[in-house]
Order: sequence, then structure tokens, then C-alpha cells
Amino acid sequence: MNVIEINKLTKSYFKTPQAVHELSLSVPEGSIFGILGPNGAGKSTLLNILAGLLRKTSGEISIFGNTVDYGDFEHKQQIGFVLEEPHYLEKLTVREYLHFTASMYSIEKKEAVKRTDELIEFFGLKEKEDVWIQKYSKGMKKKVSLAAAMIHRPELLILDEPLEGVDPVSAKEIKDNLRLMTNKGVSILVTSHNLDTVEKFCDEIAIINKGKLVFQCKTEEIHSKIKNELTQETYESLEEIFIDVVTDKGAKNVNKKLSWL
Amino acid sequence: MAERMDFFWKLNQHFILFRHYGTLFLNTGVVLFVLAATVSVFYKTPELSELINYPFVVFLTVNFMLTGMVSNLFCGGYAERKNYSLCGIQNMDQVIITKNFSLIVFFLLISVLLLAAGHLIVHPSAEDYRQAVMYELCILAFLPVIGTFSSVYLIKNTEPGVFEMMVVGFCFIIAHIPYLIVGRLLNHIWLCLLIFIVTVAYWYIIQVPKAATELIRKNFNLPVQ
Repeated sequence: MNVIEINKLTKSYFKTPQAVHELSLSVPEGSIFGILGPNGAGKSTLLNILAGLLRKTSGEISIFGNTVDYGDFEHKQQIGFVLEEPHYLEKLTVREYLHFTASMYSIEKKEAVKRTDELIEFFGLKEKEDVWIQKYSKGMKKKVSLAAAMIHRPELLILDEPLEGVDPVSAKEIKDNLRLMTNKGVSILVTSHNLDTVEKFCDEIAIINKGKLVFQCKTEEIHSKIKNELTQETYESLEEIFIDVVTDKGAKNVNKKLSWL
Repeated sequence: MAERMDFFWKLNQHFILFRHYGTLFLNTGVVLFVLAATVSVFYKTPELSELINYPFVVFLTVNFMLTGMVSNLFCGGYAERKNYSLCGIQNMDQVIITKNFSLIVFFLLISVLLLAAGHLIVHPSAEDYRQAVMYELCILAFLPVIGTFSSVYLIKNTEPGVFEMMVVGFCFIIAHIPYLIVGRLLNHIWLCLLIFIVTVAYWYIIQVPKAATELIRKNFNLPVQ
């Protein structure tokens, strides 16, 4: 079963008529699905539409088997979001913010306190738990967002660059924990610029460029020299695939140089 | 015991938001207070000292804080609404008003008392006291309602267009007309005109460019800074 089904999704802006263009993909249950793409490819737009913060222009989105649209709220109770633009209340401490988030999910006080303690410990925020979130570093703020996204034990996590700015030790612990969650049936949709992370962490990847889906495969296939059906080229690494599908033909071999260096 | 703990838990939730909004607007208030006080100290010409005096400084500060505070408490700030939206809270407006109701009442009371106190210090007569309270109540009755309407309208539209921005701008102008009416009634038309101009300028210099940047960023799909 697929937890997310996106069918011919299109989002147009005034100056960018095809921020997302007829994009179709599906996220299988219990898997980690990675979305890659260069800056401005449409990844965050896609995630904001899924989060119900942007209206789609056309197309259809189905989450947990139900068609959803802008203004639908019920399904979000089972989803945890980490979005590019943070949404935490910066004048709160991490503990206060997590309590606040827990109250929105109607988690009982005792349970909320327990989960908050564990999350603060897990994300290594104990030392700074009395400091306002606004004083946190970028990586620590990401950890707060992740903690808030996980507090209600969601069935689906939608994560936009969740490990950006997070130190390697914490990043590994977070990835391990997310993997454990998928073993229990949680599905994860994640975007990242880090090819290595995606290659090792995700079960399936999709590459988006200029709002269109340009490549999709299971990560295990990358190492078996998969072939691009359009260009008949064979790849050996995700980096090769990525550069090939997002770069204009003929331009990819040109070594760009800075004139003053 | 469990009930008492629940009570404190709920009370704490109020204080969490109190601090969130309180700090935001207290900062604005302090900055404005210092600015207004500085102006009143350095420009002590006979004409200006008529306009820029203690009640003026108090009133201006309270007004700025109150407008932002009450409208935010009514409709929730952008971050608060986004949180509710992402957590799947369906009756968001109802939740926000219920949650913040005690704070709204608290701030309205504080503002009335502050203004009344400011007037009493300068003109300690019963007539002035009544005037001060009436003055503030007139504005309280009108300004937050319009301010809230426009804020809700803007915040609810996560993709505001030019039309939405025009509506909000219009609302802010309309919201400040009571200054002129009250000023006329109290024969302080110049004072109120000045407050009107400063307040509208504040919204247009500080708030509108912020909203416009967001509008441009979203509509033209520019990357987040």
C-alpha cells in the first residue's frame, strides 16, 4: 500500500508557471522515500503542498488512501512535519515548545512530559533546555523541529532537509532512529541535497528538476549499474545519475571556471 | 491532586503564549517608548511640547503594543497558526480565541489602566480621568476589531495576492480613523492627527514591506533568505 499518491500535481506561480509540473509519484508504506533536486527544483513547494500550506494548481494528492486538498486537516494528526521554513515559537524553550506541541495532539500531560524528556535527551538538547529556541544554532533548531514532528508517534514523516546543519554524530543517531521507525511501519518522505546521505539512507529516490520528475529508482538498483531508459546511459553512482539528469545535455562536461582564480 | 496539576498545566500553557507574545510586543513597546521619550526631551519647543508629553508617550506606546498584541491574540501569530495547521487542528480560530481569551482581557484592562494613570498624573481631575478612559475605550472598541480582521485575513491567506494586501492596507487606514474622531471630540485634534500619521507610517514602513517581501517571495517563487 502507498501512503502518499501524487497524480499529475501542478503548481504554478506568476513568474514560475511550472514550479511543479504534472508530477506523479507514490511513497510505499514503511519506506524512506528521498526526493532530490537542485535548488529551486520544486522540492519545498511539493512538501508545502503536502503540508497544506500551499494550494495546488491542479492534480490529485492522496494520503493514507484519502484524497486531500488545501484546507483538509484531519489527516495531519498522523503526520509529522519538518519544513524548510521553521514554525516553532522562538521565544519558548525546547521543553515548553514540545509541551505546547504535545497539547495540540491531545497527548496527556504525563505522557507529554515523558516523551519530552526522552526527546530532549535523544537530541542532545539537555544542556540548552533552558535557553530560548531563538538562541539555538541552525542544527539545534532542526533538532527541535524533528523532536516536535516525532512527539505524537506519527505514521508518516515529511521532512525537508532534516539533517541540514546537524552534526554527524547526531545525524547518524537520527537516521538510525528513523530507520527503526520505518521497521514499525512509519513511512518517511525526505528531501536532501546530500547525495551520500540519500543513497545510504533511503529505500527509493526520485529526482526532480524544474518541477518535473526526471528520475526514479530504488537505491539498491543504483549499484547494479542501472540504465536511463531515455538516454540509454548506464550509471554507477547516484552522483552520476544526478548530474546527468539535472544538467543540460552537452553542458555537463564543460568545466566552469572563475576568471580571477 | 491530579486536578490541581492539570490546572497548573493549563495555566502554564497560557503563560507560554503570554511570554511568546508578551516579549514580542514588549520589545516593540520599549523601543517606541524610548524613541518617543527621546524626541520629547530633545525637541522641547513650545509647539511640540504641547503635543509630545507624558500622556502622548504612554498612549503611543500602549497603542502600538495593544494593537499588535490584541490582534495577534485574537487570530494567533503566523507561527502559532502554522503550528495548529500542521498539527491538524480543524477549529483553529475557536481554539486560538479560547486559549488566548484571558490574555486578551488582561491586556485590555492593563491598557485602560495605563492610559488612565498617564492622564491622571498630568491632569489629576475626575473629568480628565473619565476622558482618558473614554478615549481609550473608543479606540479599544474599534481598532482591534479592524486590526484583527485584517490580520486574520492576511494570515489565513498563506498565499496573499495584491488584492489581499490592498484590503489589509485599507483596513489599517480605516482602523486608525477613530483617533481623528476622538481627537475632535476631546479638542486634541493635532495630537490625534500626529498619532494617526505615526501609526499608519509605522504599519506601512515596518509591517507592509515585511508582508510585501513575503508576497513577492511566494508569488515569484524566490528562495527563502
